[in-house]
Amino acid sequence: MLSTAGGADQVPLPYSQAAFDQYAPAALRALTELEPSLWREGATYPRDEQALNTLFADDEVDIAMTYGPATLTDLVASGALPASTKVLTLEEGTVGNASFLALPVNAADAAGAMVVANIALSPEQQAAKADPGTWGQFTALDTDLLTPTQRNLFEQLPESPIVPDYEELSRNAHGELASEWVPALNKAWRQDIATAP
Amino acid sequence: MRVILGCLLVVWIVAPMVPVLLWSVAGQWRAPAVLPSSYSLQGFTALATPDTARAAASSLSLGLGVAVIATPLGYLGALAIRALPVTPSRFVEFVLLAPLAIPPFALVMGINVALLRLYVSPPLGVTLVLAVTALPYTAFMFRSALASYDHRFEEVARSLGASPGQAARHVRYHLLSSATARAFFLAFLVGWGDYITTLLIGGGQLRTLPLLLGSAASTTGNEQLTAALSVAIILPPLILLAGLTLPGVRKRRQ
Amino acid sequence: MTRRRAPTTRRAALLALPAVVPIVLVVGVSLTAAALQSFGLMPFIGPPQFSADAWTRDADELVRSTVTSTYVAMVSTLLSLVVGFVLAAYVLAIPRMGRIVEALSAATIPIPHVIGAGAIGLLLSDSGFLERLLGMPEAFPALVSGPWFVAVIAEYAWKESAFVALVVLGSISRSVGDLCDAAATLGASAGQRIVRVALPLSAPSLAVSAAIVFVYTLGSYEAAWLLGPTSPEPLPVRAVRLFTSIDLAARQQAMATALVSVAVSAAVIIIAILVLRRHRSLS
Repeated sequence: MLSTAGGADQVPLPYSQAAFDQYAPAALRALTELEPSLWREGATYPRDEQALNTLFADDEVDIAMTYGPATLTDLVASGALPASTKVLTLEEGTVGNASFLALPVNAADAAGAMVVANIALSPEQQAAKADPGTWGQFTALDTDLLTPTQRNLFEQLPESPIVPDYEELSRNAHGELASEWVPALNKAWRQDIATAP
Repeated sequence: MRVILGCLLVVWIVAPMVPVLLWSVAGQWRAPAVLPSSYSLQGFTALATPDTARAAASSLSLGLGVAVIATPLGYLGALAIRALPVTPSRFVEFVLLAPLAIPPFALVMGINVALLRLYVSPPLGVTLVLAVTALPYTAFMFRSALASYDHRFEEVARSLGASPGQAARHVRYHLLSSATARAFFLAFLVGWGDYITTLLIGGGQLRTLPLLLGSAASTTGNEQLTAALSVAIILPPLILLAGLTLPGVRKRRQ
Repeated sequence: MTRRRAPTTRRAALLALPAVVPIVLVVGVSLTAAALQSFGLMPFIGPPQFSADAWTRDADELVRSTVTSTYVAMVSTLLSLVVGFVLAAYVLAIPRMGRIVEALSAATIPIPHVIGAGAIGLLLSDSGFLERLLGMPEAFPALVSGPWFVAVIAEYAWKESAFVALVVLGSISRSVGDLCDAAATLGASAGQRIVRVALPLSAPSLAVSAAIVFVYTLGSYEAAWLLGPTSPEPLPVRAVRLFTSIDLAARQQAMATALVSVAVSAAVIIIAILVLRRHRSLS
C-alpha cells in the first residue's frame, strides 16, 4: 500500500476509513495482479511466515520474508535454508520497527517491571540479543552513544556472510502504520484476494 | 490377496509416521532428497534441557490430574445410569454425553471469560475443562464394562460371608480393573496431548510438551526438534499402552 | 418393593452428582457466556449492549464456513468408517497378520492430532516425503492447502479409522466368532461372512463411532489450520482467528462461530441417537 500510494510519507499513520478507502484499493489491485506469479497462482497462501519459509527451503518459492533477518546466518549455516540464500533490500525501503516493552497501567509491580525493562535495554543484554547464537535481533540502541567498551560488545559480534549490516538494511526504513490498519487490511485482503475464485 | 491387503493396511497405518521418525534423526534433509543427506541426534540432544523436563512434568501432571478426576467420576456416573429408573437415567446419560457434542475450542472460548473473572488459576482451569472433556469417554468405558458385568459374582461373595467392602475389593475391583485402566488411559491422553485448551486457557502459564511442540513448529529450520518432540510425546503413552495390554494378551494366549 | 426402591434411587442420584455437576457447570457457563458475548451482553470493555451484529455481519462467510466444515467432517467420517471397518474385518479374519495390524492400529490412538497433522504435512506437502519418493512429478496434486482439504481429510481418516476399528472390534469380537463359524458351516464364503454377519453386527458401533468422529472432526482445529487452504475457512479456524484477533470486537463473531459449530454437532448427535433408537426397535 505504501508503494502503490507513492511512498511511505503519503499514507497517514493513524487509521481512518477515509484514508483506507483512498489507499487500500490500489494495493489490493496490485496484489491481485501479482497472483499469476505467486505460489499456486494465488489460489491459496502459506498460512504464516514459517510456512512460507518452509516453501522457500523446499525450493517451492523464490522469495520469502522474515521479521528476524539476523537469524538467517544460522539458518543457512545449519543447512535449513539453501546456501544460495540472499537478502534483498528494497529500494523504497522497508517497514522497520523495534521490539518494545510496555507496562500496563494496572501492573501489579510497576517498579519491578521498570527494572526488568532497564536490564533488557542494557548494552550487555542488547548485545546478547543481537548475537545470532542467542536470538539474532538487531539492537534498539544507538551504538554511537555508548562507551567504547560497550560498543566493543557489538563490534565483536560475528560478521555475517549473508546478512548485510544494519546500516544497509535500514536504509530508507520507515515507521509502521497504526495497529488499527491491520484488522481492516486483513479483512479486505481476506475478502478480495484470499476468497477470490 | 490377503497379504497384499494386509500390507496396504500396514502402509496406511505406518506411512505418516515415517517422515517424522526420519526427521527426528536427520542432520540435513532438503528437497528433493528422498532420505536425509546426513543423520544426527541434534533433535534429541536439544530436548535435554530443564525447560523440556519442566514441560514434561507439566504434561504428566495435567494428564494424571485429568485422569484422577475423570476416572472415578465416570465410574460413579456409569453406576448411576445403571441404577436409576429410565427417565433420570436417560437424563444423566444425556448430560454425560453433552461434552462430546461441544467442540473443545467452543467450550474453551465460552468458559475463558468466566474463569478469568473468577480468578481460577490457569492450571486448575485447564484441568477442570479437560476433565469435563474426558468424562464422556471414561463414563462410557465403565458403562459398557458394567453392562457385561455380572452382579451375581458379588452376591456369591457376599453369601460366602464377605463384607460389602471385601466384595467390592476382591470381586468388583478385579472384574473392572481392565475397564478402569482403559478409562484412566484415555483420560490421561486427553490431558497429555492437549494443545488448544492449554493454549487458550493456560495463556502461556502452563507450558506442556504440546505447547513446546507448537512453538518449535512455528520457527523455521526446527524440523529436527519438532520431530524429536513429537516422538517424545508419543512414546510414553505407547509404553504405557503396551504395559496395559501385553499382560492381557499373554493371559489370553495361555 | 417401592419402599426399597426410593432410597436406592436417591443413592443412585447422589452417585451421579459428582459427574453431572462439573459437566453442567462447565458446559452451562461456557454456552451461556458464549451466547451473551455473541450478542454483545458481556463485553470486555464498555457497557453491555444488545446487538445481533455478530450473527448478521458477514453471515455469508459464516454459512460458507459451516458448509466447509460439514463437508470435511462428512467425508472424513465416511472414510474413517470404511477404512475402520476394513481394518476390523481384517483383524478378525486373518489371525497372524491381523494381530500385527491390530497392534499397529492401536498404537496410533495415543498420537495427538497436532502431531498427526504435522506428520501428514511432512508426508503429503508439495515437496513432501511422498512426492520425493515418487521422484518429484510435475503433476503432483495440491493435497496440502489444496481446495478439497485432501490432507486434512487424510489426517482425520488416518487417526479416526483406528478409533473406529477399536470400537468395532471391542463390540463384536466376542459374538462374531461363533456366528461366523455357524455361517461357515452353512456354506457362507469369507466375503459373505463379512458382509452378511460382521457388517450388520457392527452397525450399532459404526453408527456410534460415526457420530463421535463427525463431531470431533467438525470441531478439531489443528489439522484444519495446518493443512487447509487460506479460504474457505472451516468453523474452528475462523473462530480461533477471530478469537485471537487484536480487534476485540471480533470476539463477538468468534462466539457466534463457536455456537454455530455447537449447534451442528448437537444436531448430528441427536440424529445419531434417533437412528440408533429406530435400529434397536426394529431388531
